[in-house]
Amino acid sequence: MLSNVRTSIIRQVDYLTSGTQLHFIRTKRKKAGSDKSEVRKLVTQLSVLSANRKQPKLLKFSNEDYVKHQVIQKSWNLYVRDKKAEEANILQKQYESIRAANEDLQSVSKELFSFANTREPSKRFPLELRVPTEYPPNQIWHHDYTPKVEKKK
Amino acid sequence: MSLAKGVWSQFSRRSPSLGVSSKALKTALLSPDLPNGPVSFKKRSSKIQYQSPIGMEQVYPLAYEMMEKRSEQVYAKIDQITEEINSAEDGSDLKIKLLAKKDKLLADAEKFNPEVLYKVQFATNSLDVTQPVYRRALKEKWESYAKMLTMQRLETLNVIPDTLPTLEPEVDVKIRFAHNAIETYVEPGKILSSNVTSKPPVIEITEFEEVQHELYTVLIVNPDIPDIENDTFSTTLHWGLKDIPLSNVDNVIDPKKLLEDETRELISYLPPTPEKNAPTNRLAVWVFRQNGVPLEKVEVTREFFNIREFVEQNNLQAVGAHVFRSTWDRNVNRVRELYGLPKGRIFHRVRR
Amino acid sequence: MLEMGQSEIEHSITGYSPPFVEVFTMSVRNFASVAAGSELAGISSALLLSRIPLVTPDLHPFEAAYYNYQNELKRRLMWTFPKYYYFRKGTVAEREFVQAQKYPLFKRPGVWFPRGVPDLKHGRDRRFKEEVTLPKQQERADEDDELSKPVVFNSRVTAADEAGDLTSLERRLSRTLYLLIKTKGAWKFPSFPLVEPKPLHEAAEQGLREIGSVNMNTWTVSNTPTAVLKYSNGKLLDAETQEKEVEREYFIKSHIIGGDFQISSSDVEEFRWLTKEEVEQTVEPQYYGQLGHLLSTV
Repeated sequence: MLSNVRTSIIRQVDYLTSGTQLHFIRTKRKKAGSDKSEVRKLVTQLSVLSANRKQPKLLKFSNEDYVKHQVIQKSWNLYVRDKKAEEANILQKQYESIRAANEDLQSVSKELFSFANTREPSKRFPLELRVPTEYPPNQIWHHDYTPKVEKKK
Repeated sequence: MSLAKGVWSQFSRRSPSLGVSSKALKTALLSPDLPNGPVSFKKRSSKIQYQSPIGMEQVYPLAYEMMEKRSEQVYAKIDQITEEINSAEDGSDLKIKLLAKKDKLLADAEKFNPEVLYKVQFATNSLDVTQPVYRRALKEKWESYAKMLTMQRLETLNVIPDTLPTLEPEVDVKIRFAHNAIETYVEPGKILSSNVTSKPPVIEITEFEEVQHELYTVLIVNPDIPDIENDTFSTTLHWGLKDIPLSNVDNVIDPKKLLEDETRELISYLPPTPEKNAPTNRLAVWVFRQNGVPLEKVEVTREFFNIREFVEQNNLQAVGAHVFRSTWDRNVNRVRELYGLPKGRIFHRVRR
Repeated sequence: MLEMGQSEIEHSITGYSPPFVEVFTMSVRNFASVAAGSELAGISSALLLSRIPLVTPDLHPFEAAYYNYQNELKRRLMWTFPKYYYFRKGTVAEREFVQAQKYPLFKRPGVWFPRGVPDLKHGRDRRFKEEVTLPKQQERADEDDELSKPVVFNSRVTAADEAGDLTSLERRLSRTLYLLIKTKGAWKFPSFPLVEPKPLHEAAEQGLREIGSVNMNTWTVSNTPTAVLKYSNGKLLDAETQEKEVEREYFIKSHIIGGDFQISSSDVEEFRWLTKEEVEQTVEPQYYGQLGHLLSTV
């Protein structure tokens, strides 16, 4: 294998691996099979990063398909834009609703308002809530839940 | 089976120019796939070899339907505005505003119609300029290159400010000399042979707003005529045209248009005949919109023409410009003979 | 420790203006010291109890088609898989891999290719996307080995969906479900009048366990109410109403994590777990109009 690698490539490799113990010494040509595996490894690794012979052909649309592609992309952009606007609208409404409820609560009962706004530093997100997955688990819902009996101190 | 079922399939209220006329192309654009192969490929083998991208067949009908629905919503808005326009007073600011808005909406409604998209990109020679969507497409194309090129040439060649102080370009000005069979427009700033410029040019003025009947003034001035007595250069008026009626469709100033009414020619065409060894002459073409008011009692002089004074007196608004250059060549003497001009002067490095 | 802190704070703020002191001292007062006064009359705490989605949202047909189209474009434009990097020449692994692949036709002189001449590099036709098949999947598919059996996914449509059981928590897995109860012939979110001065969320949670059962695990999102509805003589008023003498219903958001809602109160005639659209069809339009934005579309 090494015998087939031209000297110029090996020089390049030598330059690239100057940090390692690999050194190139010009010697007699060797027979195939008696290659330095480390050099071969490096050549392979470099070729993995190279686009040479691995890059696909340029994508060429016909005029009709190019127009169709533009229509698809534009409609997708508009679809996403509308969806985001709708989400923002709902969030805005929810915010207004929370504010109205709190202002109302403050005017009605200061006590309840202060209860509603006390900080809960020890509150944690429940670990039992599952992250949605692509398919449901074998046991879909935990039906037979019984609360823990709290020990009295 | 065609995808168009809604507003984009109806041509009773929409102009037929908003659809492609070729039946094969229409089928290709309005089907999920390409049933007869790509029409735009000419060779049979290329047609057979071509494959549409995978997945396009499924998503395109949905995308088309969504865009068509949007267009329908825009058309509903247009109907509302049309009613408002009908009830608005003629010539009022409100009406002008509403008309502009309607034009914008009409362009929006059709912008992503595949048939329009195809025509805008691949059939630019046959665009129907009465439709706002095509006018907008032409404007975008002009702004992306030709406008910038023209302004760059006007500024680097100092046509601005040597002739007029500045320009806010609104129209695309293209000129063409009938010197050969090939119809090519002159690139701004190009040095043309005096043989080419021996006959008056054909000027094409493209408006991007809707224009029904508008009058234009066109001046071709040359600010590079040597004025030895005052040790400077003077401006000569090479061609002056006034009250030229143009519209979106009829936008070309050619001999036929000038023959219709002889008073339209303020001053006849004088071909550029640069002197030997004098600097290259710049010929600035200035286009003015008259806002519907005809010019009355205009007198111009060919030599020592003051273009700034002329513009101010007649209350003109420059909307477009073009420039080409001319230098002495061996055709100049022939052109001079043709127009019965005196023999040219020859300049030398040292004044005699 | 806490009491000390409170008394210190109270002491330190005695110099401030009266309104501030009033609010602050109220917040640190003991429950017992608050008289169950008239200000609590007409206040009730309602619960928006939701079951969050258990599976990912269903894709809109356009989304699904667009993702597929983009995925195909991406695959078409991907570099060829460098087989020589992962499988050394002459190894068994390489042989297995090569045997699993379906390589395209290569160019041959004198042969006419109607779809165009193949452009092969590293065993891939560069004009098309590359299909890589993993050898292991193929071989072990027909073995009886428990571990190597092909994975079969559970259906996103459950038995409850097929039976149309509206009271099951296992229906509509991709959507958020909300608990609706029927009291006095009207469908509403569960609501509980405040009888003693206690935080709204606690009142709601306690009330839920009274009408449902204690065998429910819920998690209150926040103490803060998310909406308020105003009633006058049991009639729902507009959100912008200026009336003073009204009954109020504050909404608290909560998630159910485990357990089931089982009717344990004679007031509740029926209950259902419904999605946003189903809630809209079940409740009064005016009621939905003031609460619709709180319900999730996913």
